[in-house]
Amino acid sequence: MTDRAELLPGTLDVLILKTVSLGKLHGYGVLLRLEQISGGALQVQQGALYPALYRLEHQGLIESEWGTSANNRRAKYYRLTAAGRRRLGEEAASWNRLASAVALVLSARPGEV
Amino acid sequence: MGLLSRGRSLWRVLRRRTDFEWEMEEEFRFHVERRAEDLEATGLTPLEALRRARLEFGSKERHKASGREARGLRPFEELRIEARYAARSLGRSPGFTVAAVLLLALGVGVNSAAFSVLSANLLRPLPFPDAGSLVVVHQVRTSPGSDPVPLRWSYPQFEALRSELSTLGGLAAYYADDVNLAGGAGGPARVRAEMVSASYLSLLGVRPAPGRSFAPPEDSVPGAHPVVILGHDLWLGHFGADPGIVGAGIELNEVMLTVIGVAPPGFRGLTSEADLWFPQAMAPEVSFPDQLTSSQLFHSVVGRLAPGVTVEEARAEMATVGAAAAAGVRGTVEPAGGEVWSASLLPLDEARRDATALRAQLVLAGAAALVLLMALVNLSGLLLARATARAREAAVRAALGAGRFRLLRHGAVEGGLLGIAGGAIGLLLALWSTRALVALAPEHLGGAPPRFAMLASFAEPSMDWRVAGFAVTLSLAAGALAGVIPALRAAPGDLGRALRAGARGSSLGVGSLRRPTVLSATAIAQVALALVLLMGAGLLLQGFQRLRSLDPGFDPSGVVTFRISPAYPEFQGSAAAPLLERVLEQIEAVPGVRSASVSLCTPYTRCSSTPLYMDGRTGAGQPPIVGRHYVGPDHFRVLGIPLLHGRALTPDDRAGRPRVAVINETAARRFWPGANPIGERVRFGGGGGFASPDSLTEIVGVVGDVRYGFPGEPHWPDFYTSYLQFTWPYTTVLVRAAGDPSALVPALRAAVLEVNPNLPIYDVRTMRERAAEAVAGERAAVLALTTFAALGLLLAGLGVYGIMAYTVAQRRREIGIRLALGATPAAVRRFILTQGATLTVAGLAIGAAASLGLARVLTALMADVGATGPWVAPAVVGLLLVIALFACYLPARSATRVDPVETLAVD
Repeated sequence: MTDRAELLPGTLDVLILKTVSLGKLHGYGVLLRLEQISGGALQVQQGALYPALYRLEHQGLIESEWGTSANNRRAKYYRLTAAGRRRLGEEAASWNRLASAVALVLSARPGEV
Repeated sequence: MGLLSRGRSLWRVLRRRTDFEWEMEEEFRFHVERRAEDLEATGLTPLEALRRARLEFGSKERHKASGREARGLRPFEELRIEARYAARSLGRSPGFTVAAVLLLALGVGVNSAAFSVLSANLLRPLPFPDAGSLVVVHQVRTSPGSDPVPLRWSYPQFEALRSELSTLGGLAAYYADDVNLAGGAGGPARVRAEMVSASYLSLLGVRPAPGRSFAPPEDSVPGAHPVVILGHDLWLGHFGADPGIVGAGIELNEVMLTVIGVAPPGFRGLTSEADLWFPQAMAPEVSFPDQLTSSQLFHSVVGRLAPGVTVEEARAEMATVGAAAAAGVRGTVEPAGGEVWSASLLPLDEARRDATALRAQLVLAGAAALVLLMALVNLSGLLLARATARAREAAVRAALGAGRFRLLRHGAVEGGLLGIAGGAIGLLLALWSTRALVALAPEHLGGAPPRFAMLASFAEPSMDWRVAGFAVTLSLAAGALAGVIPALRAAPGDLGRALRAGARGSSLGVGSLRRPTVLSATAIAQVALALVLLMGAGLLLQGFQRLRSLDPGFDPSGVVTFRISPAYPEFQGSAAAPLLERVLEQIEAVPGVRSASVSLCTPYTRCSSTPLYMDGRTGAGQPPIVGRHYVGPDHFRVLGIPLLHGRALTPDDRAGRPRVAVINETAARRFWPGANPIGERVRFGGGGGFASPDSLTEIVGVVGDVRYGFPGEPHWPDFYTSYLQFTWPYTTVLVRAAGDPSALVPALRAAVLEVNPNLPIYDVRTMRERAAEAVAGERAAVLALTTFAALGLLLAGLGVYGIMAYTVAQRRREIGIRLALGATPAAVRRFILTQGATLTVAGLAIGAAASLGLARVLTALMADVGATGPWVAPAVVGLLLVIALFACYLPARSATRVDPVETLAVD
């Protein structure tokens, strides 16, 4: 059982974008995929998922369509749009910059400054 | 980018709300079921798994709510909740709601009607494609010392224009006149024809269906192409919508023409009266022989700006090239000394408007706005009273955290709901009243365009999207405004006070003179506005009475009139005289006819004038223009015009005998002041080619002045000559009947047909009807304004009553105390009445001041209002005072019934 990481507000959006970019998914699938990829470290609050999905759709970063699931049930699938892909790239880049900057600071040893 | 996609997404959700909700439901259900499946895989029973999954997921409603919010639906959701709440609270006080809705309906309805009239005149575009580039071309004559006069063209001038101008991409001449129609289902009929250039219909973008438009060669050689295009209504009514009409033959003025097409429905030509169209080239045969060669200025000319040309450029070319081309073919119409002739053009959209009608319409709109203001003030008062009565409820809401904005929004939503309901009813009211307005006086409200252009105004008010949009916007805005104002007043501090029971003192209701409340202000405002409206109506009414009481100079009772027009080429000039004589003989033989006459014009329609030359009085400058009447010998007897000196015309005054004339008093006074005009000799000029300028006419009699122009205009000098000596073939026949004149009409028609079976009579009206028509515009305005004033009076009365009743209700404690301390019922009544009277007097004072300004505005706008008689102002003030006091009386009486024990015990 790995440790759970705290999800900072705002990062859920970019994580959803990334998950969906790997292939179209329904809401529950996004949950599962996130858990999967993060190795169980990231577990999304049920209450936050759908508002985030709707918000992203409202902003035009993902789009939805109804389809049939693996066991023949109707489900709403989400897919990244071109704008979403762009935003994902921007956010990922800025996150990585932030992460490396923080890591750099945190790894400073006394005497190096 | 974000905003656009957000807007699109919101729109999509709004459009399919139920689908959105259902989809969320589906999506959440799927999620829960999948989770349950996964839980089952870990060993739970299906039931357990489902329960757990549901618990984990949480409240579906909460998810849905956040889902709605995420899609931007929050404001709409809140609005929906507010609206439901407002509707419920309105439903709890039905009396108030009905009153409020009716008030708004009144204000919105009346203003929508006024707006529809204005919109038809100012906003609605002409019904032709690309109407912005259509222009009316005209000549301009400027005489020294007077305004430039626009005039039409002669046909040779039009042809010169057509070949010279380059800024106008198409020119068409048109002229309208009545013709006799034979053929088709009905008998012979009199119809209105427009004689047009071949390009006329295509210039206006009108395509006949069935059939075709005129082709250019059909307008070239006179008489070569006898073709005609029928109007849609004529085809339906007179020809039974015969599908084989194209190719059929009809007779106009006994000339055979072939129908080549039917105009689309709704098109009546630029004069808006045309029943059919034929090429100008046929005019010499069907209508006037010299239509195409005469130098008289018959023809209106319409054109289209060439692509890329502006109005200024075209106007500049008209002033130079156009004027020169016109001057080159001027013919016999020579400019007299000092006159300057030029040419100009007007966009069609401008030419069709009439400035005087616009002013009348603006007055109407102003009055309507006043009524709306009154309704709003009244409504505000009602809402205010209601708000104060519900002050506790509002205080509770505020205590629970509703900020100022929420309270204002609540007021606006409540008002908005009232507005929607009121607006719906108001729109119906507007529909009905617009139709009534138009029926009353189509010319004045639809606008009567300048006659020189023979152009219709195309301004008949109708209910279109503009008017509907106006009504909706106005009702929402008015309702919201009325709702917000009381809410603005209620500052949070007041609410604290209101929560405590038994608010007291003179700050309730209408307050006192020293500390008036908003409520008293609304009462004062209503009285003032009502006074202004009543004054306006009174002024107009007075002016109208003055108009009607003007002596017409003849006796209109028992006289019926109709027009006839023998086919021109056959009966031209003096050839018509024997025909008219036979017609008069036949008519006088009809039982019930006392006497009959002919005349070109009837009273109230001035239609004929000629220059007058007096022997021995050459003098510089233009000869005077006098009214001219071509009448039968019994004319003065038929109309009851008194003969003052000399003799009337007799049947002996006919062709071959010395020419004689009878003049009216104004003529005698103007041209032979202080002397006897009988025996003097004059000549007439101009006029249609058969009043030869070298025949002397002797004055043989003087009759009283008769009103031929608009009531209120000064009299013209009028000259009556015998139709047997100076003849126009088309004329009006006037018949004095022994009994009811309209009962004779069928017999009269038969009598005329006996003389000539192809001679229809038309424009049949009694003299009384003509008199009423002459003042129809004024009457409509007076009626409209009086209705508004009556409404205003009603509103003011209701408003004062409501406010005083509310005041009494609010100040029950105070009244109870007074009664307990020994005040008599009469004293209490006086107390309340004094409150009401103070308000009324204050309102009257303000209203009187405003009315002074109004009187000035009205006099400027409507010329015939004139000075106020002494009775208008006192009568109006007195009326308002009486109504207001009466409105206070009932609440005063109920005040005396207050039981002091009851009110004192409540506290």
